[in-house]
Amino acid sequence: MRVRVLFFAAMRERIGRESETVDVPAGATVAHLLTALAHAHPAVRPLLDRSRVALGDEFVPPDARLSEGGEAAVIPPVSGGTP
Amino acid sequence: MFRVVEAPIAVSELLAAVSRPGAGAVALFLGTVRDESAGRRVERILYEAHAPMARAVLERIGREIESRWPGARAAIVHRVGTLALGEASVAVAVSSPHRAEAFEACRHAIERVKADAPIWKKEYGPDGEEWVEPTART
Repeated sequence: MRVRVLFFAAMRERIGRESETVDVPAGATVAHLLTALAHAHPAVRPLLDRSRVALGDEFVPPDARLSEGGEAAVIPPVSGGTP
Repeated sequence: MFRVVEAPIAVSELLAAVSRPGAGAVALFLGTVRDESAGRRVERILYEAHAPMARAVLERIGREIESRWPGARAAIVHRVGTLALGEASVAVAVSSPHRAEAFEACRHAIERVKADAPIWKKEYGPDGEEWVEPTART
């Protein structure tokens, strides 16, 4: 199935685009998607390892299931930092 | 009021949004662009957001404030785009019956925004440009 993936900030710049469509097996999880992305973009693997994934407006754990035609956002570390 | 905006933040709108007769205190926090970061000079900062999700996260934080501190009301606005030194990138206003809760809830809200809102910043200075990660001081 196909999932649209959104990239932001450092991830967007390093991959060179704002989004892409990724093919994953039916029933795939967020963890599968991250593995596929790391394979397709080995240069951003360390940044991927530090990133969270959101489906819609919610952060989701690695075992969350993706849906056909859905959209997943890769959320690299936010600027947060020390108060 | 929970917004991600491109124009300068209108603080009076946040204050109006949290104004209510039962409030005896309003705490207002502004995060502003500083000229230094981890020993490097900063000349301007670009803020980028996953806007629809960021807006939803700000609203969720607001609801959390209002349920944890009864009688409190919150407004949170974050700006995106390129900001000059001294400009406000984020504003949090919290009203509550008494000042202790207003300060406490306002502090809580900004820490939650920093941790969870999908908003990134890229600092520009004479030494170059860099996306900021949590290990750096902000």
